[in-house]
Amino acid sequence: MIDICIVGSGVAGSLIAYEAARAGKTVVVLETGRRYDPLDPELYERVRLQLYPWQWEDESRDAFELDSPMRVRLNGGRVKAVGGTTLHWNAYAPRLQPGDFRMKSSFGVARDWPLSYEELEPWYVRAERELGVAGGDAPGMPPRSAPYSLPPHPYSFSDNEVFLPAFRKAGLTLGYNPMAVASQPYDGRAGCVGFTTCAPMCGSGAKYTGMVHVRKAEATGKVEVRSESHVRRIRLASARRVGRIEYVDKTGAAQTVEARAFVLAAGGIENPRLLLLSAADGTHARGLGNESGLVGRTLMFHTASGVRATMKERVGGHRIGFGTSISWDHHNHSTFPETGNLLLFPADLQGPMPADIAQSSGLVGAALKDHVRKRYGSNVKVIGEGEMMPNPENSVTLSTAKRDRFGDPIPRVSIRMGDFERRTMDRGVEIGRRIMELAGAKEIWTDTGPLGGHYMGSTCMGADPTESVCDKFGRCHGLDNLYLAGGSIFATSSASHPTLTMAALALRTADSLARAL
Amino acid sequence: MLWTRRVFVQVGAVAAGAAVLGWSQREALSKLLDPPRAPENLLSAEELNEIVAVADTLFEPDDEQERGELEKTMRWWAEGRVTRGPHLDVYKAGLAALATTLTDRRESLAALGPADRKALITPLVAGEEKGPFKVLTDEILEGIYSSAIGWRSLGYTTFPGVPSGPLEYTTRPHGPARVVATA
Repeated sequence: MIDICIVGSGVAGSLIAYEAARAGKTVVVLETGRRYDPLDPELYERVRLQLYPWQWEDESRDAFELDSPMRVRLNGGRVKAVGGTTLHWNAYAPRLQPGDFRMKSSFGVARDWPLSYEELEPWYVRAERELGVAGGDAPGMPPRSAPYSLPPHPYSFSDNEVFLPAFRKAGLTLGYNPMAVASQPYDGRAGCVGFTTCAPMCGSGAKYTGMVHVRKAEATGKVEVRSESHVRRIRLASARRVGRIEYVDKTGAAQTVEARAFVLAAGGIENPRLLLLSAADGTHARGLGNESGLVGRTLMFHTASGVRATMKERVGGHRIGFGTSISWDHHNHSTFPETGNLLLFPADLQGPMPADIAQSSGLVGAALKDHVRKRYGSNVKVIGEGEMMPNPENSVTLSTAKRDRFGDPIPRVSIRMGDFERRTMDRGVEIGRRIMELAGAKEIWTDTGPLGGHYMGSTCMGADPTESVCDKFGRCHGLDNLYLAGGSIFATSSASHPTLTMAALALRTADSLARAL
Repeated sequence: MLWTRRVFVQVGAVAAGAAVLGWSQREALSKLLDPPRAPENLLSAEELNEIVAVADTLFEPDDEQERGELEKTMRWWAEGRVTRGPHLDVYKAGLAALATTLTDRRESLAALGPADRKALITPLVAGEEKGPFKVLTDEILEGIYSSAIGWRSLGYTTFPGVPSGPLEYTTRPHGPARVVATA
């Protein structure tokens, strides 16, 4: 019997597999998606042709029901493939703030995490090393015990010329944006050379993806990653122990894996779905580990307040695939309980792209060329990434109407913004507009909405088994050998991007798991 | 909206600093993610010639060298988009619409001289209606302005999808110095 079976090969699953293997454990990773070779020139050719490289979606497997007044592009925010969603992420890697871990006790809202920032801090340091995070000083950033793994990416031209002065005039500060993109060669990865296509695919391998640790894990000889292996059920060996996982392999044959411990690292939608699908007798009648009734509940996204502007001069956008600066000034819990935190990111990657300008011009020949030349490159944007409260009504449940090709109910995602979220987004717009005005923008326009891709809280961690699904190591309260990993275990969403925290928690889970076995 | 890398970058991921996508038409998405795998030469030589002729008229190369590069770019782009993506219908329908316009002349666009081509194409492109030919010209313009030839016309020596050097983005932008944006 193997030691650990992991469901999902994204950043959390691959890190746990690697760490467990380093501790001498044998691991099987089951990944529902296919495996891509990052060196396959076909992927790069598709990017050059403006086509999406990761053709992972399968309607018969990945359909979902949406109960929301908002446009939610669930499958646009995730990638089911070996390496997971990090294949197409933008690699922003900020930490959470210490206050995010004690929202209830310090600010009277949401709930506390079962661990403190201080407990997680050493794991953040390790995660930054594993992911190769390039960063530097930024006023108000979370405290740290060690420098970043790599020097920061220098500020872009637009940061230096437009945003730093504008933020200063607004009484705000900017600092270096922590990115899991190597600013110089690191751990076998190339340094960034400005392909600018970070999302959806880095052309040089400077960007971290889960493939880094998939390959490292496999190189230990103790880890087997089985792609196109779709998990359907988790089966109990006893009331408090999982015995095996049932899945369908790439040939369509039903298979099982028995292991001493199991980890679900399949994302904020599939983690709760699998627990709900695997309901069993007795205390697991509402789903595995669901004595609290919180499996699938308190699903959280991030909100986005976008303020776009046209500047008077070219700022030279689209020469690097991410924003190089960040502002923590509004991510300090100072406006609770009225509005939530906002992490501010300026960027010069905003449209319209040259093709958009050409297409909307109605011009031909020299007039067209001149038109595009004059109008391209003056647009910028400030994004305010905001947090959502853990509302039990926002949830992942099982559809009663539709099933996937395996015959299992598809996930039903219910999500709504409340007054808190709307006020937070409005505040983000207000701040962004002020910055653009101070930057001397010619024209400003705004948009708000959910920020897809970050699916959190649906199997939340907590100290009290009646109010959470897993403990501070990700272990399911009701099951001694089932662990949860990824954004689904977040107790609050914070305003920070989740991936680095997912990695830090995964490393901590791996350590705990290796000790337990 | 078609689900393309450009759309991805523009609408979603980079805009938000997160792995977010921005398409709205699920049907179009599904088609793109599961494109028809077709045999080679889905576009005939005559059709490719017409596409190049449309591109030449739209972009009006400055000289023969640029004309040659444009032709090479468009052949690569059109063949790539129909074999790897779901754009064959865009080309077929657009060329059919163009052929309808040409009926009176009983000729192909490629057979016309530059002045006649421009006289024919200009009102079609300027029109408000988003018919099949306008969709085709949008597709062709995307090819031009996503490739080296289009970016070079803006003064960029590099562009998204090719390496530019680690610190290129920190300098004053390429192109005519201090280009003043107009509304």
